[in-house]
Amino acid sequence: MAIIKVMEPGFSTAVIDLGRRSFQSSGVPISGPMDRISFRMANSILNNFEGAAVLECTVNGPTLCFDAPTTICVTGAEVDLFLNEDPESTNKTINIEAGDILRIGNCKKGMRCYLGIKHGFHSPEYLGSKSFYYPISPKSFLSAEDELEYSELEQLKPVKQSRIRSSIFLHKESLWVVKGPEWDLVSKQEHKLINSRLTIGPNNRMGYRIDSDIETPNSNMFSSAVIPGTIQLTPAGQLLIATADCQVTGGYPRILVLDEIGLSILAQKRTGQGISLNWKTD
Amino acid sequence: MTLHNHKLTYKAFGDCSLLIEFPVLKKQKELHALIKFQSHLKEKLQHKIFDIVISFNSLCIHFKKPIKLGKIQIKIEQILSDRSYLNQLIYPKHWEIPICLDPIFAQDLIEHFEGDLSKVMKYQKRICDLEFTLGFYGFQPGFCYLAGLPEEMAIQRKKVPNRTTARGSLAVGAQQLGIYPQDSPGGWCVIGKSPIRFFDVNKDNPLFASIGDRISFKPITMEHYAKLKGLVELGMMPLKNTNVYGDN
Repeated sequence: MAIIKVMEPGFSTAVIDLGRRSFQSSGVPISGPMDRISFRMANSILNNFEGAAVLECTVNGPTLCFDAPTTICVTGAEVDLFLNEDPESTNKTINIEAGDILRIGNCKKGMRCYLGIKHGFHSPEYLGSKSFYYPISPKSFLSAEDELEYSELEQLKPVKQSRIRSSIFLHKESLWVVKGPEWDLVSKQEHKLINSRLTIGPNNRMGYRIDSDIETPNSNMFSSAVIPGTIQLTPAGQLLIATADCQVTGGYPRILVLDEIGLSILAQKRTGQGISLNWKTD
Repeated sequence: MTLHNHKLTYKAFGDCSLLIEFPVLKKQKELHALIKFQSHLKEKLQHKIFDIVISFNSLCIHFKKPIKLGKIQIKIEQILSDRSYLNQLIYPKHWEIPICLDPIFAQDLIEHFEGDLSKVMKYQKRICDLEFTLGFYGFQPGFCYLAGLPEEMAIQRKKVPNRTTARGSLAVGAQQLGIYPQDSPGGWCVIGKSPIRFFDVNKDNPLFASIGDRISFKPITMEHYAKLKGLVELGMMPLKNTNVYGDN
């Protein structure tokens, strides 16, 4: 098995696949990709199977040394990319030779990029998935000196010069929502939520916090299911958008639900950026 | 269609999940009916779904593909119309969980009772006198929600959650009791701490007990806590269980 040595881990870089879908009833989060569109694109460009494991790199990426030939590609955020210090492009295949060093720099537009590799990363599986999520996996992020296994390619295909222009959604600010199970609690305050500008607050793979001036009605809810995309309203009036590593149940009113495209757009936003929520129409 | 005589409400939740709601189930028999309901649906829908998450007042089916509410509701009602699934037997166990109630592990409860230690101890003693039912897992890996807390013992969730609630903490959130299997932020009121490891990803089944099992708490001293913690760190599971019969 070929090995990648992690020279620099980047801000927070994790092995991610489609996640753990059948352990939610044990309280285990799904831990799929934050930006599913870019995840899919990385695997499609490489003609991988749908759920091949990739590296999800947040804010800035890792520096990696490959010990055998393969083909990779980087999708998602607009990012500085260097192969042996020569600039490379995202959204296209890149051939790698033994000893090559790939450096993924800062995300300039967007916040997360995805490094796909032919046949996927062969990391150990925990509860049926390679996705990092502590304490299911031993760690949440890569560290320097870590090693990642991949398949060596005997023969590299010539690189296609064609490049997919995909970053249109990085500019989008409008997220589609549908009503959540407890929408009725806040339906009278619709104007404060829908089509109004909201500013992204602190965020991580569990969720995004967004300040609002919604008044929280009294509700002493029993905990119930939460899915990625659920927008909960906290007692302090904050919106809490559940993302990839979200809890499987929660006790706050679930007022709205984002779709998968909305989640992908959101995953590329940083603290301080603006979004708006809009009703999804069929 | 009903669950233990409770009316069911169907709601679409996102594109691929169906939420079925009912009044809060409190009785042992009702929880058992819900568990049977869940496993029956899992069996009938197995290829179409990822998982079914239950709570005290809901059941959420996570489908692999987008669903249409009306169509899926008819399908579920069809599945439920054969009530023979209620005849399957379940075999709960009873677990006695060692818990240290030292004030050092009960800061939240002390705060709740504004420093009145006699009220704190009375509350803790009542918890240890009660028997609970493991209703479901949620919130985080292996976090179990226990039913059976009397209404007058409910404690509101904190407006600002604790930055860290320690692994092994036994805590009250509204009318639910739960055990934190990992260190995590937590908005519930901690009343004591157990040395047991409640979730172990290295085991085939990482969970220590099954939904429907009975749980009670046995107070232990700080010395005993330290001793058990040592055993747990060596990989042992110093936890006893017994079978409960005649429960169906």
